[in-house]
Amino acid sequence: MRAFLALAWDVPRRIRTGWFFWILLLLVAGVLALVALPLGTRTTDDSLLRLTWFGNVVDLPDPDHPGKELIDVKRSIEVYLASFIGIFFGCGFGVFAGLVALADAVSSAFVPGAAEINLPKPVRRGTIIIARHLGALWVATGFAVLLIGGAVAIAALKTGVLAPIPLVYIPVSVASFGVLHAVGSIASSRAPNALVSAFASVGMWLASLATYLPNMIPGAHDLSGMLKHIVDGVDLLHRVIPRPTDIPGLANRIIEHKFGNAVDVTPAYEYELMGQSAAWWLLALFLAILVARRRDF
Amino acid sequence: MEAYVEVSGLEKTYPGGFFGSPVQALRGISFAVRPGELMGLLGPNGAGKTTTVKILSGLVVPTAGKASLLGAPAGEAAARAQLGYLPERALWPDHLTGIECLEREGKLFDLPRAERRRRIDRDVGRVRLEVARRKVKTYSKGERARLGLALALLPDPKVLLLDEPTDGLDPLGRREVRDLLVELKKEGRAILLNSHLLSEAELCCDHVAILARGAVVAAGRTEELLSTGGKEFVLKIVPPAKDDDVAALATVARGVKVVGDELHVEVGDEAEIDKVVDLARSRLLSIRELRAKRATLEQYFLRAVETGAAPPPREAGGRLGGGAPHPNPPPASRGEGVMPRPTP
Repeated sequence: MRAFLALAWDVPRRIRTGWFFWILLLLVAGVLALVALPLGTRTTDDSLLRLTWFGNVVDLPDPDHPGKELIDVKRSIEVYLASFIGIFFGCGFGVFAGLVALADAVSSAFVPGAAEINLPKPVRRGTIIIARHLGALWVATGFAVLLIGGAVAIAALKTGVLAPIPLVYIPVSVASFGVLHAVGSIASSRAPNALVSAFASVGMWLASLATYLPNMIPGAHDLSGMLKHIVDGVDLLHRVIPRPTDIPGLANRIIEHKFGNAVDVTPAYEYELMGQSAAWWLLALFLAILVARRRDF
Repeated sequence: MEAYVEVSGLEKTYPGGFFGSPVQALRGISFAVRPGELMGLLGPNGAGKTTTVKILSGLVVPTAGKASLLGAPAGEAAARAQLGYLPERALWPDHLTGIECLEREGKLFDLPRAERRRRIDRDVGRVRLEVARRKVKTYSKGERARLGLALALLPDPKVLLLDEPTDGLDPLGRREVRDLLVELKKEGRAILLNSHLLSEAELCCDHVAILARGAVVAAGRTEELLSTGGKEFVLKIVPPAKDDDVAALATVARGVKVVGDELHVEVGDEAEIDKVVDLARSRLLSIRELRAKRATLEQYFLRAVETGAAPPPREAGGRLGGGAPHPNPPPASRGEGVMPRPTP
């Protein structure tokens, strides 16, 4: 256990000394300053307490009642923070930045010179990979807590209303990061290079996005002939490869009490998404270990 | 005595990739290092030294043959638990201090906190790492070498693989390391030293194995390899011997050669040197020094590598025979001669 923790602890200790860490911290501070600090409340002429941004009332669509405006302050804060902080910055930009910043978490243990230090110890190569991956998750969780937790806390302090639901995006963004980072670890084991690892994980994310495109293009599923086969093939591919792009949607449905009960979404779809993501996470780590065990350093 | 390091018929072929042809780095080498022995693994670049050390440390998997540390196959956790390894090229964590590096190393060997502290204090003192509390990125090459040694010693290993341990050290530092190696040897550890500095190896290694083109071309006890078997002596005479003195001495020796102010005397056996000394004294020559002639390791190394085999066989025990390198030498013998001899 000592060895495992020492290897995992290498990751935060190492990233802390790099300039990218401080840039990420500045970005998080900037996002919090721009998105959460301007929040406030104001009682409108019709005696309703409304959420404001830089003093102006925020008009958000009510997800529970399409076509209507959100009036409840707590619900407004939830929707606002979930959309901007949770999905856009947490699961979007945050995951991307994490994949780039932590691309060398596993590979740095195997690069020439480091492999000579780490491998001739009574520690299995698989232990090194899992420990370094968990170290990366640890750092990612820290940033997610800082970003999303910070936004929830600032919003509560500024409005006097605690809306904790967006905190769900902390594990969701970390899970999206985890699946992709595990995929990058396969590349790290084969070619110990942070760039290769970053390309592998970000590339897998882009592939997931690209194969989701037919769901975003109206009428794509109404095509016929060869095009229909292509769209069906892309859909199938999307369900086979890791689906980090679908995980935030799952969280959103859980928050909105629509688990397995949204348009085109059944409980079976939700369970498949959860199982497939967990399976890819484990499979990617297993493959990374297998590759590392069989190669010379 | 059971060998701590045993290498038998070890072969390694690296795949050549898509377009390259496979590279045979090791062609069936064999040797053994016993407790309390310090063996120098010598050879020119590309001879297979690093591959051998990497196999023993578990970094590379052999294609054929066996390599074991204390009976456990090299690469297994049980073998690595007994191994202290100083790599030639190491990326020490620059953001840590020397003490933090050693702490981390102790954790990798699962040492409890108190034991880690005790060993860190011991080894920092042992290698004289006076900058242990500074960040590694501020270390000089010599300080990094000292840190590497301290890291290799921390697990209290029974086997030490040291790749260029004196690299970057000044002459004083090199002497300290040599003294340390002798001390470690006396503690009963088996040490395999990989070095380009033949003078260093000659000073501290009691056994050497010379690799060339992936095969052991010479191996044995350093003293025996470099000795002339009691057949060549150096006489220092004052005043310098005149031509008629040399001619007279040549009558009782097989050959006499003047080299500077010394006489190099070749004799048939050790008893003959007494006759030479008696004759020199009868001619009123003052003998200031008499010593057995000994080749340097560098001379021996160059001959071995250039010919692809050990120098021609001599009668004295322990010497290696000449001839082409054996493609698949037998396993190390358990007798006095530690290393197998290439077949003449």
